[in-house]
Formats: sequence, C-alpha cells, structure tokens
Amino acid sequence: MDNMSIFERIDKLGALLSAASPEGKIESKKKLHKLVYLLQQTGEDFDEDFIFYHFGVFSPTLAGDLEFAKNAGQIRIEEPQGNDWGYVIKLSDKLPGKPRISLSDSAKKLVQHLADREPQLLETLSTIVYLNRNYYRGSALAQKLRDLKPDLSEHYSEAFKLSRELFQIDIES
Amino acid sequence: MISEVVIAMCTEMAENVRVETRENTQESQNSRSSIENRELEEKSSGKKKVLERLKQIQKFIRDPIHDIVKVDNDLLLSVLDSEPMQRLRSIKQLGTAYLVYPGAEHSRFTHSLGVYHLASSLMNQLELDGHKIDDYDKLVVKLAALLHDTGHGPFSHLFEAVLKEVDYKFVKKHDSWSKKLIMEHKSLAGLFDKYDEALTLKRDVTDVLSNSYKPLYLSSIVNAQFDVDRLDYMLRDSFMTGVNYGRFDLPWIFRNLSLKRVSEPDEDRRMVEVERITLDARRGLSSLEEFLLGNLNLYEHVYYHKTVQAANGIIISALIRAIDLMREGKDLGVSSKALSRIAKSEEMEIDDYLELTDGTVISWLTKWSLSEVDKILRDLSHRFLTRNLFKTIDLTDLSGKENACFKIRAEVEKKLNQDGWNSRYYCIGIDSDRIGYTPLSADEIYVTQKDGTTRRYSEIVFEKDGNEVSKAIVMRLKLRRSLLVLPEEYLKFANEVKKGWTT
Repeated sequence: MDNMSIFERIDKLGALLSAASPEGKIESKKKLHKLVYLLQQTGEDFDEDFIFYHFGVFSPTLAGDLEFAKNAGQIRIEEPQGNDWGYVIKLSDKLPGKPRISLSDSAKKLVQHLADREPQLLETLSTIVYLNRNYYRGSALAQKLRDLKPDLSEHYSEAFKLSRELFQIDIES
Repeated sequence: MISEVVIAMCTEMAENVRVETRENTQESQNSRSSIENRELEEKSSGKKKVLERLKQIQKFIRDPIHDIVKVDNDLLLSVLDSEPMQRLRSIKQLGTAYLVYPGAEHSRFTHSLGVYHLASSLMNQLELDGHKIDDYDKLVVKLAALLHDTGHGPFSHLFEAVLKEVDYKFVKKHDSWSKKLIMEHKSLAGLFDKYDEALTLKRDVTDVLSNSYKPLYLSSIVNAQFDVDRLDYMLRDSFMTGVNYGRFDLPWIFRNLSLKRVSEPDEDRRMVEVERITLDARRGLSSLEEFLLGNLNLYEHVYYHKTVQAANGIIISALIRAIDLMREGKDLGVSSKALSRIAKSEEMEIDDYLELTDGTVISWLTKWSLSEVDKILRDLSHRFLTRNLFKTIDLTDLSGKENACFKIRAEVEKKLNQDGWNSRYYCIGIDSDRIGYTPLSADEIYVTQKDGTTRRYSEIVFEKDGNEVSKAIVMRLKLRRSLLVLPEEYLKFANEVKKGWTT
C-alpha cells in the first residue's frame, strides 16, 4: 500500500533509460542518481529514498535496484576498466516488451534535456535543488553551495541557469 | 598583405580578450575569496556567541537502556521541554506493534533521548581517541539527535502511508516535517534564535539531518547505515518487545571507533579523500556483524511481522475511509483541522500537524466505532479497538512471477466487491523491502584492518580470501515481503486463488 514494489521501481527505471537515448542507455551512474532525484522533485512518482553525501544526492534504494535489475538480466552495467571511471547502464536487449510503467511527457522532456549533460553539472544542479528543498534560498544557497562543492565552481553558472529554468529557483551568485 | 594585417589584428584582439578574461577571472576569484573569508569570520563569531550564551547545567535522566542520560546545557533542556519534543511522548516508537508485543509501549520521546545520549557518547569517544571536535559542532549534533524524530505522525511511519494514499500534495515524510518544525515552529525556532543572533543555529541543526553539515562525518553520526539512531532503536526495541534479536555489544563497538581519512569513490568510481568514522576490524568486526544481522532480524520478526502489518492495514483503511467520507461532505463528529485540511487537499499548518498523535487517532476510532454515520468506518474502528484484526496471505514467493500478485489481488477484490464489501478498505497490498546493509552505498561502513588500511566493509567481505561467515551474513541481509491483508472470512478464498498460481 505505501510503497512501490521493487519490480515497479525497476520498470520505472527502464522507462527512464528508454527516454534517455534510443538505445536505452545512460553513461554514468552518477547521472542516473541525480536524474532520478531531479525527476522526483518535479513530482514524478519515483519511490527511491535519497541521502546526501560528499558527491551530492545518492539513493541506496536505487543502488540496490540497479544490482537487482542487473542480476535479473533486465539491464547491463559496463564497469570502468583499470583507473578509469564511469559506468554505462543499458537496457538489456532481452527485456520483454515495453515497461509497464511509463514516464510522464514532462519527465521525458526533462530526461532528454539533461541526459547528455556532464555528470558534474547534474551533481551541481541536484545539490542546488536539494539545498532549496532544505530551506536555503538566494545568497545563502549560493554560499552553502560554495561551501559544499568548491570543486564544481565551473558548473555554477550553467547550473544556476538550469535551476531557474527548470525548478524556478533563483540564486544570487 | 591585407589578410596578414587582419590576422595580426585578430591575434592582438584575441590576446587582449585573453588578458582581460584572465584579469576578470583573477578579480572574480579575489572577490569570491574575500566573500568567503568574510562569511567564515561571521560564522565563527556567531558560533562563539552561541557558546557564550549557553548555561552549563547538570540534569540527569534515568533510562532503561543507557542508565543515565546527562543533559548539560540550558538550551538542550529547553528543547527537551518544547512542545514538539513533548508531543513525542504520545507517539509510540513501534506504532501498532504493541498489539503483538505487549511490552512495545515505548515512545519516540525515549528513543530520541537515547539517540541524543549516544551521539554525545560517540563524540566523546572520538575525542578520547585524540580527535578534537569543536564545541559548537558538538552542540549542533546533539540538538539534531534530540530533534531528529519530531516530525513523526501518529503511529510513526503509518501516517505517511495514509498521506500518500489520499494523494496529499504537501510535506508527507517525517524527516521533512522534523526539519520544518526546527525551522518554523514558533517556540522551537524562537528558542534557537534567542541563543543565535545570526539565525544560523537552526539551519545548522537541519543541515545535520540533511547530511550536509560540514565536516560531513558529523552528519553521519545521526544519519548513516551505522548510526546512533539505529544503535538506539535496536537495543530499545529489542528490550521493550522482549525479543532477543537486535542486541549487540555497544560499549565494545564504541571503544573501537575512530576517525580516519579515507579514499572514497563517487558513483562512477572517481576517488576523493574524506574523513570517516571507522571501526577497528580486528576487535569490532563480530560486534558489527551482530548489529547488521540483528537489524534485519528485527525487521523480519518485529517491524514487518504479519500481524503488525494487518493492524497497520486496518488503521490505514479507517483513516482513508474517514478522509473519503469527508471529501463527500459527511460530518464525522470529530473536530480536527488536520483531517479537514487533508480532506480538502489543503496544506496542514504546523499546529494542525502537532495535534496529531496516537491518542488523537485512538479517540477518533473510539468515536467512530460507536457512530452510525458510516458502516465501514464503524467496522474498521471497532476491529482495531477490539484487536479483531485482518489476516494476511504471503505472496512474496510469487512476486517474481509476471503480474501474479496483481492478478491474485484483483480476483480477491472482485469477490469482496461482489459480496458487498468495499475492496478499497478491505483488501490491502503491503510490499516491504529492507536491505540491512547496502554495499558500496554513499553511507558505507568503513573498517580499519590489521595492516592499518581503512576500507569499505563490503570490499573486505567480497574479496577473494574474504571471510565466508561475513559473506553469508551480508548475503542474508535482504528482506522482501509482499502481503495481502484482508478479513479472516476471505482468507480461505485468497489461499485457494494463490494455490492456483503456485501449482
């Protein structure tokens, strides 16, 4: 009654991957975590819990669901080799039919708008949205962002622009 | 010739632009660092003032789990006496579990005191280990620990499910309500502001609950896979229910915790150095594993107990029925601004929300159980109050089969509706997932090994020569349960439908 089942959650992830690219692929786990969070904040029904850590928002539920979907053969995850970084998550070719749960049209648009952006930009944007949801506004938000993410300063101005356009969050930089 | 001149001009222009840009960048960096320095100075002087205003006191509270809980300043005591904290005395820690475990009458208040006590003890332990923690930071963490559960609704997590089911569009989750109360509750927020002219103290406390307070390891004391919240609720719930699951060697775990710099990967395995609280694996690993296994056992045998879920199902159904009726314009004879706003899809004010406790809901059920307004509401209320609970059938084994649970439920619902029951209130699906430990999560558990290296627990468990017992424990730490909750009269029918899918 209160929660989506793991199968429904995975279906929803499948819908997100389908919206991200024609091959049903997202090149970065970071991007996926941040995208699901951003979609949830627009009101899209994703039943994943998020925590905040050194690299921004992260969902242990989503991490578990990805492993489950991989073991069930519904998605493939290509691991980074050697000292490289960046996982590739792709819908399996064997997935039967269409996912039973789909994304709303506005969510699809958001995914298409953000799926090709850099993971670090999405980390900055989702941190802004997270801080906004946690009582930070205007210059206080900008100050907290600088405090938490000094290494992402090159993404601030684009993230400020996106947060204004997509989430109506105004920040005095 | 002309083109050479043009190229030269363009090159010169480009150089000028580059110089200008560099100057602008330098200027903007200087201005940013001066802003940052000013912000740091202001913050530091604000913290000092808060500490100067605190009065040291010695207040001792007896606790069945931790023996003596010490409250050491007047702000903490005032927060303890505040309305949002005192309200927690009227919210049971384990919701309806007292209907199965009669001893489970303890409240969110005693749990919050325990979490506060453990947060203080853990910081003391880190200091004993040679790591100085700023006094202001200690105060912020203690306040966050004390206030972390103030946002719980009646019967703890149960009320969130009701809000979700009736499509309440505003703040639903208890952790968001806790932060809202800290930031906006008149007397609580006012209390913080009395000690803090800069008005940052309450924001710092909510930052700990949001995991964004720096240094970040401080937030993990209250919010992580291995945190003081879990440490307290496991020991307390185990003691109060009388089960033997969930006990572990707390003093030994604390004795073996310290703070270390570790290399931590992001989601895509990009590394960064961070500070983490770590456990000495040579001495503390068995206690950690006892803790992990105990946590899952409590979920399996207490929190997700089928009869507890059945009791939850009835109370959720009763509240949904009440809201549905109010939406149809029926007068249910109870005066509740909260209920009325939920029914009207309006946002609850803080005072409306604070009126909601276990006692409020029980008083509604008592009234409805005697009322003639609605047969269904009367029946559900009466069932809960007399412990004539629904029954459950377990569909977990079928949840992997395409649409099996959905189809079984649809068939049972059809039968109920044909017989004149209303399946919206008499057939409830409850899916519960619990992963006792999430390997490679952002809130990983770090352990220091014999050779002095600190690594994530999952890395040492799953490496080639990892301990087989540890591997088995981690593999066991997953729980998934899919239940169908329904009146006893339909249990036989539902089991027959289920049988059709299993054979």
